[in-house]
Amino acid sequence: MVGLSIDPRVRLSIELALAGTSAGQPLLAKQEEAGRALGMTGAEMDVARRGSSFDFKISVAISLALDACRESRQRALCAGLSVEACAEIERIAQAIRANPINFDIWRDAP
Amino acid sequence: MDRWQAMRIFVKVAETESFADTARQMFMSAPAVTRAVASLEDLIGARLFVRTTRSVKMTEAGARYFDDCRRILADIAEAEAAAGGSYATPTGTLYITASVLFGQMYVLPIVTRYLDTYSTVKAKTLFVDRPVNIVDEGIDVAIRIGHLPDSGLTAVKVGTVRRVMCGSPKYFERYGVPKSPADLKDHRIAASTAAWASPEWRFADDQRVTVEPVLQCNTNEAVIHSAREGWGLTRVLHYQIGPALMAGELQIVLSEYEEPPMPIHILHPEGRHAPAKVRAFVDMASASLRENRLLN
Repeated sequence: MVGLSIDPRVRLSIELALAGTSAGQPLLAKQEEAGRALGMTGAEMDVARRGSSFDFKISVAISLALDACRESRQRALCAGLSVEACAEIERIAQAIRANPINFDIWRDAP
Repeated sequence: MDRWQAMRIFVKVAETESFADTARQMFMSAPAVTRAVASLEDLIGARLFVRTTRSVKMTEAGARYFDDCRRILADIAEAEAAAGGSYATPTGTLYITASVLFGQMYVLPIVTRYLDTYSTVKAKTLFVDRPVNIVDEGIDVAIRIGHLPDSGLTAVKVGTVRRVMCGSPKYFERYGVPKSPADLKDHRIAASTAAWASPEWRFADDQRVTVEPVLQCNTNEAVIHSAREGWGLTRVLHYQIGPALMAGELQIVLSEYEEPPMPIHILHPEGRHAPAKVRAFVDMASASLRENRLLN
């Protein structure tokens, strides 16, 4: 279970980055709908699927989610993310990797 | 009096329920209106109105005839417009206005495609960062960013735009990231005076910060260039840095402090009765801009 300190846009961006461009059509449509509901543009979602973000902080969070190492953690801390937020991003990434089909389980979690 | 004119008079009387009002609106005398309706009734062989001293009501036959007359008159009007060419086929010169960068980046490609599609039309653009009075300056179509004041113009929403703080990843690595608008005083700021000359920058919840730009430029392109080079931070509308955002050359900071996005509208003066050149462009531009994933 994950906490609430991570912004939903960050969470979805991580999900998009981990799913990449190879996600199936039903998942892409679901992600698109979730992104629209959060006020993201199509281009923001496209960039997230390529492992980056228009937003500096979100791009750092994505880098950490894609490759959790000392360097990416350090970069995230320098960008202003807290130690707790970094740990949560890593937990989110692990949860998605462990259950790539059902991304919603962690997004809707309290 | 011809049948067509008599039908117009009959429809107007039915709509206004008054011979006197009809006479005024059609620049006729009241007896002429009465004669026209009477001659129509003679021709048809049925009473169209029940007249009392206080009111004019349609009979059952009149109500049926009214529906037919309206349809026939609309067909005639459309046939005349089609024959004249202005309603059915785009012709003439289309005059379009937008802000400088939005015009160059997003409107011009639509204009050239429009010209390729409709060889009977010419186009003229006015891309300026100042308010333009559409009616006074004879503009056919305007693309406006921001909340619109009430007007008689027809508006079609086609997307949204954010006002964003941005810098290059290189700058952030070197100088750090502002955590709140108040931190901007510790950063190098390049500001454009093209459309927003005030040193007071507004953020969400009416938060205001007075910035002291080290560099002020009269064009948006110049401040964007300096930010891409990693020189400092700047504040622009996100569409202006669309390609740089897609390429990762610029990134946004302080997004949680941004004001709500502003709408983009296509505006034109004539509503449903706009000439074909306007309707064709509005259709093409609204579809194209709505499909643009940077704006939607």
